[in-house]
Amino acid sequence: MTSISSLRVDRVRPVVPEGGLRALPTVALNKRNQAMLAAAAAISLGSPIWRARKQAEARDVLALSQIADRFRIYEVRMNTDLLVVAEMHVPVPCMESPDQPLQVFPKALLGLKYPEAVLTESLPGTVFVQVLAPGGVWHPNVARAYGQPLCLGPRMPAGIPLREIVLLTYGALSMQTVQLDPGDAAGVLNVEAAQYWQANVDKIPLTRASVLSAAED
Amino acid sequence: MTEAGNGYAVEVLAGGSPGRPVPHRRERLPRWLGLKVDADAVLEGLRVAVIGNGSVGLAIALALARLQPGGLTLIDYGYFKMASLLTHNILPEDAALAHPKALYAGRLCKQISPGTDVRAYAGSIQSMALDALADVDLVALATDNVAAEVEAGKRCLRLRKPLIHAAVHGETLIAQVRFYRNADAGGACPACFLNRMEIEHLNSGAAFPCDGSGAPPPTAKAGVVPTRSTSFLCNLAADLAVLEILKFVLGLGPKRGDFVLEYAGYTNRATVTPLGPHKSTCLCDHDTVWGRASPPRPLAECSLAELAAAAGFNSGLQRVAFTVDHLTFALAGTCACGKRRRVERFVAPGASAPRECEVCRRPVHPDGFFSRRPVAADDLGDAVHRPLRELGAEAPRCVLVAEDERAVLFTDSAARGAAGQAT
Repeated sequence: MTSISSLRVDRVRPVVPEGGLRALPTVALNKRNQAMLAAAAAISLGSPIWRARKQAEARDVLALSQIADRFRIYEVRMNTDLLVVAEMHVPVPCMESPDQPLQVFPKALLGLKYPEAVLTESLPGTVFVQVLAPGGVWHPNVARAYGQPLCLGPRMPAGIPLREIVLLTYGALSMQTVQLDPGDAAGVLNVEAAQYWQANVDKIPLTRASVLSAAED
Repeated sequence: MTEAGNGYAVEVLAGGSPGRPVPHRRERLPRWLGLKVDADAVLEGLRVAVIGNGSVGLAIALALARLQPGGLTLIDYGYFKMASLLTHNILPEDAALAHPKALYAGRLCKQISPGTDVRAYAGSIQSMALDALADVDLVALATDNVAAEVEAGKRCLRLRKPLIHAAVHGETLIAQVRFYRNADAGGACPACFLNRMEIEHLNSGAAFPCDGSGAPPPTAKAGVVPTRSTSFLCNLAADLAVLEILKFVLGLGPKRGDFVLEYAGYTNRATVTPLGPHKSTCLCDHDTVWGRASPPRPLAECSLAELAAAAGFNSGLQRVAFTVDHLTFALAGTCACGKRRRVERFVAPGASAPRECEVCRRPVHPDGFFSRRPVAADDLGDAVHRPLRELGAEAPRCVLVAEDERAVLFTDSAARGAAGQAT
């Protein structure tokens, strides 16, 4: 099996293709991503339809990582669920405790999970994304416990593509799309953070930059 | 009481008047034209699951109970409401008391046929155990939501159980029965025929109660869509379904593949149309068949590697995945202090891991991203060779061992026998 680390290349600013995200299917994977996809596919388990779907979804997000400067993929696994460990350059609000000052980190390490059930079931929006780092995320839609899952909404449509989960995640973490009403259970996983951000709505969104814009160094 | 939490239907015990004489089906069974089997013996051994016990499903269950089959398993997450009186075979006091439909149907069936092994599950088919339908001969489906139809279709495909789907369309006075034999991978399933609107309903979790009630109770899932029908149309669909079930199990009439039988009330015309092969665009896995096997020892004493060998997967464990009962294998979790800890145990949904953080002494909660169901042998590491009991699975009732399109379902009958009873 090809070692992924040996194929790591220096960071090059990606070129967004004409057509933006619509051009994603035409993006050819670079050698690193091809190797990562092949390594994951070699031990992909499940029915033929699920294996094919995992490969297609993984290819899509790897292609996205090539055109989005703000999104880098470190690992893809397909043995049961499709799992992706990725770094997203997006402001992440953090607070160690409610009496501490707010800190905004420039990027997040994400665990993305795409389970087989998504093919035929409408799943809760907490299933797909977990903020692995930094800790202490202070966001209405990110739970403080349980490994910091991010809620993207009460239910996600069956068959939602993983690339859309990534885009929704960017919108949610940057607070371009955010559910702040603690009285509405749809999406709020941290009531104190929701109240904090309701009192500080002038600070949101944390960035207006789009997911395809260049990341700050 | 029924307990939907354990994933298995509970036995409904006989109530009413013990000692009351019970007529035997032989007193009324006709000598059907072309009958080549012992109908009495076939019905004695027949076990049917009815998913959805509302307007149509309750009528199916009652008609089946009058045939005094060997077993009836009744599955419904719903409760009666006053509007149920308009379409269900119930009395006003039953509607007012908001009984769980499955349990109510179970009690009625048990009163009609005390000799039948009646079981009830007051929960959704999606929440049932992997092997919940493994022991039935066929499944009747009369549910009110698309997600349950898709799930029932998937389960019957895997276990190769015939599925009879009864439905009505009130506005056009149509009663319809779809028969999926599931004899092989080539046949269709309910998901094959979902149209765009139904897929949208699937996404929104919509339900379609026949009694037309549009206002869901506060605890109900979102998206209850009122539909309109009448009790006689629902009963007609149910009777057509039971007629087809009877013909199938007794081998009456010409042999058919998958078909849809539709009775149009406006024209008084019944039409039978063959159902085509499964759609290539269907998202269900039509190829994988679940074989069944008994574990060499009680499941809790077995290691997963041992079960893989017993399943005949002898070419290594690299492509093998395991699903242990309703449990999730937690690789890691976090505690109140935010530290991530190794867990490497099977845990029940929503439960904390059987260990505490060394720093804050609080329980460790499994992380979603580091939890696996199914779990690949690769993720288990050396744990694949340890008995399930040592991995937190104290009394698993079933384990599915899968390798690509082949899977074997191990069931522990002793552990399953520990399920509860309903009075």
